[in-house]
Amino acid sequence: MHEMSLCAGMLRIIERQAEQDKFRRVLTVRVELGEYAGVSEESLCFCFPIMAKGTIAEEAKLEFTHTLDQALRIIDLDVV
Amino acid sequence: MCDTCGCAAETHAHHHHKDHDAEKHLVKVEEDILSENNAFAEANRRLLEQHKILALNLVSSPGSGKTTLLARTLSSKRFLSAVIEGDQSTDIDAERLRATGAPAVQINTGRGCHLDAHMVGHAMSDLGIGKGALDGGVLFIENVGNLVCPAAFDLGEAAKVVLLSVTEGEDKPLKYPDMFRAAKLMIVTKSDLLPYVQFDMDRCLGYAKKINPDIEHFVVSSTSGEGEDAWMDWLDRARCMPRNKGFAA
Ligand SMILES: Nc1nc2c(ncn2[C@@H]2O[C@H](COP(=O)(O)OP(=O)(O)OP(=O)(O)O)[C@@H](O)[C@H]2O)c(=O)[nH]1
Ligand SMILES: [Mg+2]
Repeated sequence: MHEMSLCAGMLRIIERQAEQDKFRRVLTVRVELGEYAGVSEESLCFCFPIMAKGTIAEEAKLEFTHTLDQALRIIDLDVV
Repeated sequence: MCDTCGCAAETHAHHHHKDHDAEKHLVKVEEDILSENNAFAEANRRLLEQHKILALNLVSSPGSGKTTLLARTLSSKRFLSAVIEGDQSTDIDAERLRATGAPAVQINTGRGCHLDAHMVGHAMSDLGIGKGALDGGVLFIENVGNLVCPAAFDLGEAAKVVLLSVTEGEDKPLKYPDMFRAAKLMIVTKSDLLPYVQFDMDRCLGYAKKINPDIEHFVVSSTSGEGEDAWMDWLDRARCMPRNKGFAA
């Protein structure tokens, strides 16, 4: 269940970015996810909306690019 | 605000403005999701290196024998040692280890399934690390019993050590590959129980090497004492290795 703390980390990155770039809502979060990151796409997708409730990312969809390394990164966001 | 890292209780800003006129656009982020943890881990690692402390992150499923092996290791008094104990609740394990005379700090993770580098930084400071305590010694970090989640979190340790007891079955390296890939050393524990269980040692080592060709291993029993000398010698060697880029024991 460490996906909970990963989602909390994602939200902190997103909120920090929002302060910098002054956006108010996040529509899409694109994530690079490595085969060896030790994280499953399913559980991130399950946890993210729960953790994001009440934040600017509460309606955001997650989109994944899969790689063969240990990557676990937010690439970019669609925002308004 | 705390003195160790300047953290404050965090709050998520709540923005619920309506944004009818806003245009959808793309914002580049390019940030590692674990970057926060990794920054704390690097800070821990720097401090440990400055004070010539060997830090080992002990991971296993619940009940594999981490605390028992640590109690035996600490009781030998061969090294100046301290322990950071991680469990979801209770300070039973820290109490058990304090009985050996070594300082032990308990972290309770509550619902959390792993230790993170931020918690460990605070526990290090509680142990007086950085202020002279434990210089040149060994810091054992016993992680929450869990073969999955702790694999992803760097705490600033020199190496992860994975324990696997013979009662768990030899297939665990294949079933939980992330952890065995992350570990430098595998300790197969409770070898005194081998006569009572079906556990194919060669197969276990084969699986572990398949996942991680560089993994080292010992077979130990905290009941009979088998393998404990090899473990202590390994610790002695590891203590003397330069640790900036991991170490080759
Ligand atoms: N027979 C035998 N039993 C052992 C050995 N080492 C530990 N045990 C027993 O295994 C049980 C669990 O041991 P612990 O040392 O508490 O295991 P742990 O990994 O610290 O457990 P958690 O912290 O709860 O994850 C205890 O009942 C120990 O007495 C061993 O070498 N042989
Ligand atoms: Mg324990």
